[in-house]
Amino acid sequence: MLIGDRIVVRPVENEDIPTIFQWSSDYELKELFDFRVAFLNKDELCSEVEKYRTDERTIDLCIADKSSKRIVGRCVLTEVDFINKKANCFLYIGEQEFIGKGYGTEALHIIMDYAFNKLNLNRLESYVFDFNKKAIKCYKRCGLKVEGIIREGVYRRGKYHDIYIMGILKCEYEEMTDGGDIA
Amino acid sequence: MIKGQYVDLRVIDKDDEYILKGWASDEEVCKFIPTVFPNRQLFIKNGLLGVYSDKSSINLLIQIEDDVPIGICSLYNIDFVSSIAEISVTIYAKNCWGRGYGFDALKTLTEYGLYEINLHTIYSNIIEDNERAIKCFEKAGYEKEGMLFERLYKDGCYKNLVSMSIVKK
Repeated sequence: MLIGDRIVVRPVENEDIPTIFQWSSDYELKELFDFRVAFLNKDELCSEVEKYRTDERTIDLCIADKSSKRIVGRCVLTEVDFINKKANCFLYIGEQEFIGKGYGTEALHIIMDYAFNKLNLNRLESYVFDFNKKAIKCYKRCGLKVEGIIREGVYRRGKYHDIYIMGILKCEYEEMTDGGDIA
Repeated sequence: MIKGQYVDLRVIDKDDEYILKGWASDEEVCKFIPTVFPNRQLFIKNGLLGVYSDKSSINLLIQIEDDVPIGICSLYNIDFVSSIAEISVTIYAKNCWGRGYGFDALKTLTEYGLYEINLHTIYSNIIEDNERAIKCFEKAGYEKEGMLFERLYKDGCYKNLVSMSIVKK
C-alpha cells in the first residue's frame, strides 16, 4: 500500500468491484478516457479485473480516501516493460465529490514515486484525449509534457479528436522532487 | 541469434536435447558446475530442456562455425526491478577449451545483458579453484567483490565461491 497525505493507493480487491462497476457505467466519466464507451456488465468487469491481476505487464491499483477507506478512483499501469523501463498509466477519480480537489494530482505523485523509485522505471507515459482538460492540467502540473499528438485518434460525440501523448522521464521527476516540489 | 567475434549465441530448441544430455553427463566438464554429478535432471523426462526453457532466464546455445554447438550460456535469476542477473558460461566440448570461445561468449552475453536487456549489474559466483574462469571474467571486465565462504558442497568438501560482478557505467 502506498500512502499519501489524504489517500492511499492499493491493489484492486474483489470487494471494490461494485464501486468500479458504478464508475464504469457512468457515461460522462467513461467518455473522458475510454477508447470505446462500451459498458461492461459485472461478469465482464470481474474478468477484466482478473485479467489485470494475472497479467505481469499490468498493475491494477485503486485510490482510496485515507480517513474513510472509501475507494474514490482507479489507477492502472499497463504495458509495464522492465527492459525498456517504461509504463503507460491511466488514472481517474470516479467519485463525484472527490473530483477537482487535487486527489488525482496527489495520486499521480504517488504513482510517479512508485514507478521511478520502487519499480525503477525510466519513463511514465499517458494518453490523454484533447477534450479531457482537467486531466491535461493535472498531468502538466505533475510535470508530464505533451510529447506528441495522435491526430484524430479517437471518435467521440460525432467527431474525431486528437490524443495527446504525455510523458515524464525519471531524470525530470528527480529534478522536480529534489527541489522539494512534491505534492 | 547474437553474434560474437568467434561464437554465435542462439536459442535452444527441443531438438537440441540430445546435445544437452551428452554434455551434462561428462564428469570433467561438470567439475566446476554447481550441480550434483551425474545431473539428476537427466532422469526427469524433459527435465534438462525444462531447465533451459525457463521463462525467468535467458539460455542460449554457444556455437562456432558450421553451427557446431559447443556450450551453453545463461542469464538467470533475473530481477527486472533491480535490473540484476546472474551469468554462467559453460563450454562443454572439451576439444574447444582454451581457445577463447568461453571468453567471447561471456563478453557477448554480458554486452547483450547490459546494453540490450538493460541490466544494471551482472554477477557470477565462481568456485574458488576455477582459476581459469576467474581470469576470464576479469578479462571481460568483471571485478572480484567478495568471497562466499563454504557456500557449495562439491566432491567431498565445502568450496568457497568468489563473487564477481560488472556494473553498467
